[in-house]
Amino acid sequence: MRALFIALLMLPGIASATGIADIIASPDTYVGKSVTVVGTVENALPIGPESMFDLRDGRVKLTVMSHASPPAAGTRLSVTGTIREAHVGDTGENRDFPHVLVESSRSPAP
Amino acid sequence: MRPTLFFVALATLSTPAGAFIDSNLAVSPGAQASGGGCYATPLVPGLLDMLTLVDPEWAAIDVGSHLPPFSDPITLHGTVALAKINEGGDLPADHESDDQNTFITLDAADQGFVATGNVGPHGEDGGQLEVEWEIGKYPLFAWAGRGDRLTGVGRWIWDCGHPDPDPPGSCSVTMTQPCAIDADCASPTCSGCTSGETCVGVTWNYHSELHPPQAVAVTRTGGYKHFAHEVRAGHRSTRTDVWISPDGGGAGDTCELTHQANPFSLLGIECHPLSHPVANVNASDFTFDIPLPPRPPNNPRPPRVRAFDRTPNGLPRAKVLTTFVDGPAPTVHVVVKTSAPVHGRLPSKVGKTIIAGWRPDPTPVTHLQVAVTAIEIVNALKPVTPAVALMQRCSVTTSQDCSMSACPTGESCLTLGGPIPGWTVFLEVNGDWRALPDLGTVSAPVTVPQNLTYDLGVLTGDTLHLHATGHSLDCREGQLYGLSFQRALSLYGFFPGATCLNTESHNIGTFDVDLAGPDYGSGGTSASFVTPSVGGNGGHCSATTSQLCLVDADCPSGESCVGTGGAYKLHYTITKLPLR
Repeated sequence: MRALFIALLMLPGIASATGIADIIASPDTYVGKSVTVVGTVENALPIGPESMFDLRDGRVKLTVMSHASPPAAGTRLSVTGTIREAHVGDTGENRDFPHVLVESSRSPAP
Repeated sequence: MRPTLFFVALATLSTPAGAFIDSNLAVSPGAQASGGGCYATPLVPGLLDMLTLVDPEWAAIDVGSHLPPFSDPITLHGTVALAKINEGGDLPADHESDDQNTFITLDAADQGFVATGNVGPHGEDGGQLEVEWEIGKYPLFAWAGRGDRLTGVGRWIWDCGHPDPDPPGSCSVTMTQPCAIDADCASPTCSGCTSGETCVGVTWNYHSELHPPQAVAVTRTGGYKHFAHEVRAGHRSTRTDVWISPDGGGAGDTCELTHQANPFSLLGIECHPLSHPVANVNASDFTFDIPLPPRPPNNPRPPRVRAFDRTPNGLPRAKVLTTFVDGPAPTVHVVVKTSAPVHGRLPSKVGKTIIAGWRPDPTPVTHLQVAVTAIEIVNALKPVTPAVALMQRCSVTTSQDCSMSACPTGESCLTLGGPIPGWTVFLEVNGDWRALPDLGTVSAPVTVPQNLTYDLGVLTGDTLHLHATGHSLDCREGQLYGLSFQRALSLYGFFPGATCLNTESHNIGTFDVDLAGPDYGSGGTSASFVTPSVGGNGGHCSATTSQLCLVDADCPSGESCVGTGGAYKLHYTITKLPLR
């Protein structure tokens, strides 16, 4: 019974989501790890056939990089992907850039 | 509109000259009028919000009667604490090359140019002010060294990319809610906030900078003479190196400095090649004072002042007027006539070296030569797997893979991504900077012979200071400078382009050596050294310790990269010579 429970937890779509707030609070803990987060889409930005968008959960948000076209703003999504660091500007003055989620899959969320 | 911030702004503008300028002014309504000022992000931003911080990345602190981004240049004076490059590199979309950063301790009379953010909890430069000019725009002869005097004319700006709200503010009604901007006090960020709340009480820590200059005069004191188009050791003198240019790279370009109402627009704007500098070096002459060494006893003669031209070939050579100003601290007043045509053409880029001193001057000078014979790359700091896979694309038809078929007529086939070779290393000896040549192909441990000779005269009490700054290039700096976001995304595609942008250069470690007299490390005649750099990136694998690495992925499975730094060693010889 216990093994069945663990197996169910590991199935895609059934795994429990990680809070975006938890990722924001200690982003380095999640670098390189696969997570599933739930939030509402903001700032959906097409870049060629691909996209970037923000996923908001209450006070905090996480930017998602996606190989797919952007979802509609306001959509509530569950997004699975890998957390990556960003160093896109000058980091010589201790500027911390927000981490990003590189999407591997997405599905509607309640 | 933030009332508290507005009143803080008013209060600061009335503070006496010499007080630090309040960094909160960077985002004040007055500063943001007509698209000026900086624009801040929410307290907890996403990566997309960061575009706001470079919209623009630099904002004039005082536009005066102009409309942004234009402003009158300021003149500041100070003593150099440190000069170096930005080891990690910078945002390529608004730079044509990396920035050279000179940290200045401003004179007391100029302290009003320093912002509260320069001295606050995020004042990494300890109250100093940075003078930043792109490396590609700023010739090495005019770079400064520690202890040099610097007069700079240029754009007095807020560094908008580093807002550092600390401490944050609180929402005007829901005061338990921390905030940086008003949006932090509204839904959806603050579900419990009431309509119309604002963020009050935030302390911003924007730094003020001179960025870019349009003219610098760097004065060093030592033993100098001008000989066969170069400066060598001579009698005690001051040597002042002057560089004047309207070309400030991205930070000096109208297109890059223009605020966009929607920061996402930055992803579609093409400013390159940069062609609209905001600086006008012909609007006025460049004037400054050169401090003279102490007058030798019983020497009533005026100083000897000689100016040598270092203007690039083919450009008008501006005239230099010098006037001796006697007194307890005698100086030479210099006017470089950039406002006057020379044979019908106004000067644009102007270089000068001015040597001033007393003749005769019996002050002892120690003649030293530092010969750099090799740089030994111990760890090239190159990842085994490049950040971006090698690809080839046509220069205009960017979707076409030209490894498979030839580009249309008139287009070139560009190689993108792949292994990024090359190091960049600059070495100064008492403020005399040189670039180490032949490092463009470095991709593995190697010893690269060098043939650099520094010839200098050192005064009693001064030290011999050897200091290097540099990095091992990776994708961002190796390939993206001078490419707009739009061009980079078009060439590379989104994910490879973002990955390249995210792959900064690697720190090769610190090399900073001081040697005291009377022999300055020479042992009285000549001595050779092999000195490793300290710190920086890279190391060896945790179990396979003979294997060098940059990141964990460079090591066998299950091993990590243990950081040791010390990626290079410098081979050099110090020789003490009789003064010619």
